[in-house]
This record gives sequence, structure tokens and C-alpha cells, in this order.
Amino acid sequence: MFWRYMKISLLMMRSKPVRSILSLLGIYIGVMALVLILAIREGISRQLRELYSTNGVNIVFVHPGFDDVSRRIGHLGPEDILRLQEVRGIHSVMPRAQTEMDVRAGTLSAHAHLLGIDDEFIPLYRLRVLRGRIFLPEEVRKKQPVCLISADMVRQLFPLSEPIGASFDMEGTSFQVIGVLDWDARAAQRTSAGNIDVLVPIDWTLPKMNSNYSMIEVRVDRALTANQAVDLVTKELSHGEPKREKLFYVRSMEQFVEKTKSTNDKLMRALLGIAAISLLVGGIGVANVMVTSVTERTREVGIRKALGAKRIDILLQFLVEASVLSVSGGALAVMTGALGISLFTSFFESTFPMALPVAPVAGCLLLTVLIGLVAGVYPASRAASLSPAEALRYE
Amino acid sequence: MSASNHILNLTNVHKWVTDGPERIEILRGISLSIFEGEFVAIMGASGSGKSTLMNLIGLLDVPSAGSLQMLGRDVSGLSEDQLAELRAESIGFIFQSFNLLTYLSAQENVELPMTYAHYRVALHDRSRELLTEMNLSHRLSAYPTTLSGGERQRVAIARALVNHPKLLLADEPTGALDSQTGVQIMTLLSMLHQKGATIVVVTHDAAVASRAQRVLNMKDGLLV
Repeated sequence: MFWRYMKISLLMMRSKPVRSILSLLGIYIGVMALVLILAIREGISRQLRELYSTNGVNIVFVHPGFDDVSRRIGHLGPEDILRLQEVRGIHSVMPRAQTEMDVRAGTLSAHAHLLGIDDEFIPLYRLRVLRGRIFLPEEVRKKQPVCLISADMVRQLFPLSEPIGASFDMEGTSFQVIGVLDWDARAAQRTSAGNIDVLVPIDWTLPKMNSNYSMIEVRVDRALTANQAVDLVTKELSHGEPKREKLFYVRSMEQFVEKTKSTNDKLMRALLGIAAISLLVGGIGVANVMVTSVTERTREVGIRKALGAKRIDILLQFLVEASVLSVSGGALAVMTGALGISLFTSFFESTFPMALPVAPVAGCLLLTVLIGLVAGVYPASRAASLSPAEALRYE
Repeated sequence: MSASNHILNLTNVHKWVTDGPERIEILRGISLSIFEGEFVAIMGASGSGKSTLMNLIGLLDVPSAGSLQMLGRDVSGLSEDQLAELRAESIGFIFQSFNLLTYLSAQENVELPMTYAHYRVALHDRSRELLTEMNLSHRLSAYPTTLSGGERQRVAIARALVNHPKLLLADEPTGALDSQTGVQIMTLLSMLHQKGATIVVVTHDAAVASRAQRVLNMKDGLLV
């Protein structure tokens, strides 16, 4: 029976194409708006995930904090690093230290941003080594004068010569280049280090006079959630004393990503609301067309009833018709939307992320079924309650 | 229970409509029995109440007073859906203006009452068989707008027969046809009657009524 009603619905749409298309249009535009917003949301969230994904560990950043009550400033030193390194669940710890230096190679000179790292840093942040190799553990441990430089720095210092194996001077010390790194905007964002030109073993950039670190990076096993990781680090640094907890500002990279995501989500939800309103208007359009259709087909209802159709038969027929109308608009929007998005991303993928999330889009289609049913209830029940004798007389 | 060969039994049936305080009597006490295998014509001028009587016989409406029994079953207490069910099983309608659904093919039009009566078996076989009987085997998938008047009425007759009705009810079956085609259609109805069909035809055309065994005349809501 259902397929019969489906067939009738499609026949009706074919026999009144202009009216059908106009009533579809409202649903089409509404669903299209929903699909686009969902795609942008999904794209941004995927991009965030990709951008900040690290290999194997959760990253927790610790800054010295300020306690309002005791008016004390936190202190992060080598003893904290040692302490944290002993904790179960903590993979490794590295102080973050950046500095700037003037560098010179032969007659060429440049101003460079330096970042001190350990041997795990580059694979952990999935940084792209274009040429050469990364630091060996003993090069880091023994503070060897070796470095990786960015492709940009290669252009400045070694525009015409081979950089790997070459040396250059950094404020009196001669460093040997062992690798070239692709330090692009993604690397800058993922590491939260900004623009970096030269990477050296960590001890080169640590402060010489005092032993206060402005930031340390704790790498925690993935077995712990981001919140557990933050708790673990906080507890350890404050020696388990709650009043010392304020002295450290501990946050995980994942928390940061989540916060960014949720800010983005709030905006998207507002947009989704607006799209939902346009979908509602589309539903009203379908209801309007169905009311007209029922009036025009009063005689048909009379014939069907004379031939034995019950109320439910007529009701279902018009409900299916309204749903088919509504779903066609939705399906058309999803199809053209998917096509448009795949075309769009094939041109602009890196600059503007978009992706169709399957479940929410399926939800959209289900919603159009619902809209069709709701829009069809009034006209369909009006048709179902027509008296057969009167409906047959209708001209 | 009435006698087994009673198809339809009307006893002192009244039908009125109320227009504000006023009550307009359309049928004013009609008693009538239709027996199995009968061919009955109901004649009357427009306004005589014959359309209203036809609606009652066709179970499209129920009496305001009096009793109407279809196959021994009193219809006054039946719900709208129960009436629809009874219509689907026991009555085949033939209308003046054919009343085919234009967006369905001849065969689909014929199958329509079967879908409502939930006869699922051999839907297509049954409709093809009937249309073949009506000499329309070559027009199975034709749409009503491409059929001639006579062809349309024959599709409608096939549709009326599809559920093996106890009663064929024809309302001015030749009213929209030229006289020659009208004769053909009436010959077809006579043939169906000879094969055992019970037929009630409502008409104001004496030539149509002359085919019937029994002619009832209506005037001012009464049989005369």
C-alpha cells in the first residue's frame, strides 16, 4: 500500500511540476543551509583535531601561576622537571625555552628565533623534516652545537650552497646544520611556539643565570584523559597541598582544543537555529500546497471513498504525499550540497575546511520526513473527513 | 434476518437536511426491496430525490429515519469506516461522468477497489481478465484521457465488477455518452444482468429504464 501511495505522490508531483518545485524550494533552501553549516562545523572540528594532534601522548603545559590569597608567585625549576619525570604515567618533561639571536654564515646574516628541544620533540609534534635528520639523544644530553633550520632560514643563510653539514655562527658559537625543517603556520600553531627559524638542543636556550622556567611541557600517556593528566601534574607540582595548586597554571592542549571547538560550536548552533527556521518556513510551504491539493482533489477523495477507501487510507495517502514532497526537497539539497562541497574542497581544501558528517545529515533527512508528516496532518485529516456523497458532487 | 435473496431492504426510509431551524425533507418514507438477480430502474425528474436515494442505496449516506438493510445488515449503526468496508465488498459504482482517476492507467483504475478491499491475490490477473471481457485488452496501460467515452465507461464497469459486488449501482450510465455508445453500454449491462448480476440504474431516460425488469418512479421524495 505504501508503495502505491509513493507512486501516487510522484505522479502528482509530475503532473504539477511548477507547484511541486516551488513547494520543494523552501525545504531545499532550509536543508541546504543546514547541510552547509554542518559541513563547515565538521570541517573546522576536523581541522582542529588534525592541527593539534600529537603522536602518542597528551601534552600538558605548565606556567608559573600567581596566588591571589598568599600573594606568591609559583616557581618552576630543574627540580620540578626531575620530580615529574619520576611520576608514573608521565612520559617525559621538557622545559620550553625560546630566544632570539643574530646569526651569520659567511657574508650573509639574519635574525633568528630559536627553540630548544629534546630528541622527542620533532616526531611528537609530527613536524616535517625536509632534509637531513633529527637530534640524537646524546646530542641533546651533551649539548652538542648542532641544529635544524627552517626552509626559510636556508634561503637566508645558504641561498646557493648545501645547508646540510654547513656551519654558521650564532653569537660566537659555530653550529652545524644537521637537518632542514618545514616550519609552516601549522607547525607554529601545533607547537604553540610561533615562528621558529632554528632548533637547537634544549640546554642552549635555557636561562644561564637563574633556573626559573617560564613554561614546561609535560607529555602524559594517552591512557589518561586530558583532565586526569592535568590533575596528575597539578598534584605532583603542588606536593599534594591544595593551597599550592594556585601557584601553577596547568592546562592540556586537548582542553585548549575543546575550548576552541566549543566556541566555534556556539556560533554554529546559532546558525543552525536560523537554518531551522527557514526549514520551518519550507514546511509551511508544503502544508500550503497540500491544502490546495486536497481542495482540488475533493472529487478524487469522493471516488476513492465510494470505491471503499477508509479514513486511514485517505489520511495515509496525503501524509505520504506531503512527506515525499518534503523529503524530495531535502534529498535534493543533500545531494547537491554534497556535490558542491566535494567540488569546493577539491579546490580550497587547505584554506577552508568542509566535510559532510554522515549522521547529522541523515538526521536532516529524517527531519524532512517529520516536517512532511506535520505539514500533511491538517490537509490529510481534512481530506479523510470529507463525506463521500458530498465529495462526489464536488466539481 | 431478511430472506436470503434480499440484497437490499429499505423500510420507511426518510432523509432530511436541516437548514437552520428548517428541516428539508428529501425522502419522505421509502420502502423498497431489491432481490438478487434483479434489474431495477429508478426514474424521476431532478429534485425528485433520486440522487439522495442512490446515495443511500450506495451506502454513501445513511437514512435520517427508517431502516436500510444491506445483505441483511442494518446500516444505521455503522461507522464511516464500516460503511466503506461494506461498500468495497458489496457495491460496484458506475457513474455518469465515469470518475476514473486521470493519473492512473485503465488497469490501475480497475485495481483500485481491490487495494481498498485488501484482495491482494492476482491483482493484475483479475484486472486484465475484466478489461479483456470489456474488449479493452489492448488498452490496459492507456490513461483515461486517451480513451473514448465508451471505453472509459467500460473501464469504469470493469472497476465496478472487480470485487465481485452483490449490487451494481449505475447513476445515469449513459448520460455523458452519445446515443449509439449509450446503447452499447446498456447492452453490456443487460448482458451482465443475464449472467446473474443485480443491477440498479438511476436515470431520467426512459430508453435506459426500459432495459430494466422493474421501473420505480420517484416524485417529491416518494415512490409512486
